[in-house]
Amino acid sequence: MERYKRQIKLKEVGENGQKLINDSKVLVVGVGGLGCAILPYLISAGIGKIGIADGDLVEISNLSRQVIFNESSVGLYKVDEALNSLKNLNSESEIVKYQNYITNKNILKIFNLYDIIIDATDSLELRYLINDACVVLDKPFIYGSVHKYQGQVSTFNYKNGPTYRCLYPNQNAVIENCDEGGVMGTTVGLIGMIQANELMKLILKKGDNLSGKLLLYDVLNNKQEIYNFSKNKNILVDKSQFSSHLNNEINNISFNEALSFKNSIFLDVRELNEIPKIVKNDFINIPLSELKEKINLLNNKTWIMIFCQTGKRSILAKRILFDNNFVKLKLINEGAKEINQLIKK
Amino acid sequence: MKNKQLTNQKEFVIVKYFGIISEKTGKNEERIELTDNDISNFLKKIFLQYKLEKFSVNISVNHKIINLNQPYKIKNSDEIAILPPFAGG
Repeated sequence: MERYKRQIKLKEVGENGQKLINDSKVLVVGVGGLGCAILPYLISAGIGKIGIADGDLVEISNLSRQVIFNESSVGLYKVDEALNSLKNLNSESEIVKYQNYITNKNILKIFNLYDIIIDATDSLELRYLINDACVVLDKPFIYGSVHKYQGQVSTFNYKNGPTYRCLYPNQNAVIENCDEGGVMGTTVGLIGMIQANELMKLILKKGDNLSGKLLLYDVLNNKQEIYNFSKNKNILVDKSQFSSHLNNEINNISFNEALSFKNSIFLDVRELNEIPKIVKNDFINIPLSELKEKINLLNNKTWIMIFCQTGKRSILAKRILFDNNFVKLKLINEGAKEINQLIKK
Repeated sequence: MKNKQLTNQKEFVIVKYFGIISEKTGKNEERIELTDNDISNFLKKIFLQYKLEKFSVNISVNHKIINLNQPYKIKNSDEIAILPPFAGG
């Protein structure tokens, strides 16, 4: 307990609070800018079991804000590199990694092992999945998200409180894609820190939490606002709804699975100048920004296997195609970089 | 007579913009004359002016997010915020 004595000294923590921290099991979904800020503090504070879930590889452009990775991490799995970087922080914390993307197939099994979920993802699609899984399993989740210099934080589904769907019921929201939005490491760091701080209060059952409140932090102008919202009792999520709804919503498969489909084409929705360039039979590159106008290049009778760099644009592409009477659509789990490596093998 | 004078005075609300909406409008906030007390009609004008129709947002009045499916009257010096979802992490 010597290592925790400074936090134990706080009356809100004490020996009992420290035991609550040591006994808690927390899953962090997403090891991007938010996740990288959150994880070291959770581990150092003595959280007993920490799950980290992310299917992405480290890219060089991540290093400006994802501070637990280093230059030799580039090209390797984020969860592996995060584990390498964090494992020596605290031998009393158990760190469990989930290298596969969270999908509707594995989410309930994984979430069941934890008390509190931290949503540190950059995908709106995944946020609804996390929300619904937490509702089904009756677990709170702490949400954080960033747009340029602004961040949002809230705690959803805390003691049957409001959920993300109460705040944003419309799943078809238009979000600018990942390629366009700039961000500073310090902004995501601050927002991640607020999430980590909310987690500590939830575990300790102290202070005011952000259930029913959306915190908006504008770090460029040093302004914080809280917006209150209430539970929408008309929104119901139960287990049966959950599986059928999500089967329609998320249809991810691995690249290797996709190869086994007959009569299929791989649709790369990255911009034409993005690397690695993949030129191959049955591959077509139509940037997301041009998809609507070039939709007649595609045939809705063949399976279309959509991919991009991180998966975000693929989801938007799937929406566009779906709205234009395409139904034979799959999203590839891997990004272009990994697909390129798999092709070379 | 006094009431009559009051109704002739212009009324204003503050509208705050966040995230992508702040980029589309080019401002963080502005003071807008209140010409229609019905929030849906009021917002329709702003959404048309800045071409925001395709965005899914929620709306708060005086820091409380409101249900747009129900009628809601806004009044002089109310603070309205347009809050889109964020997706970066």
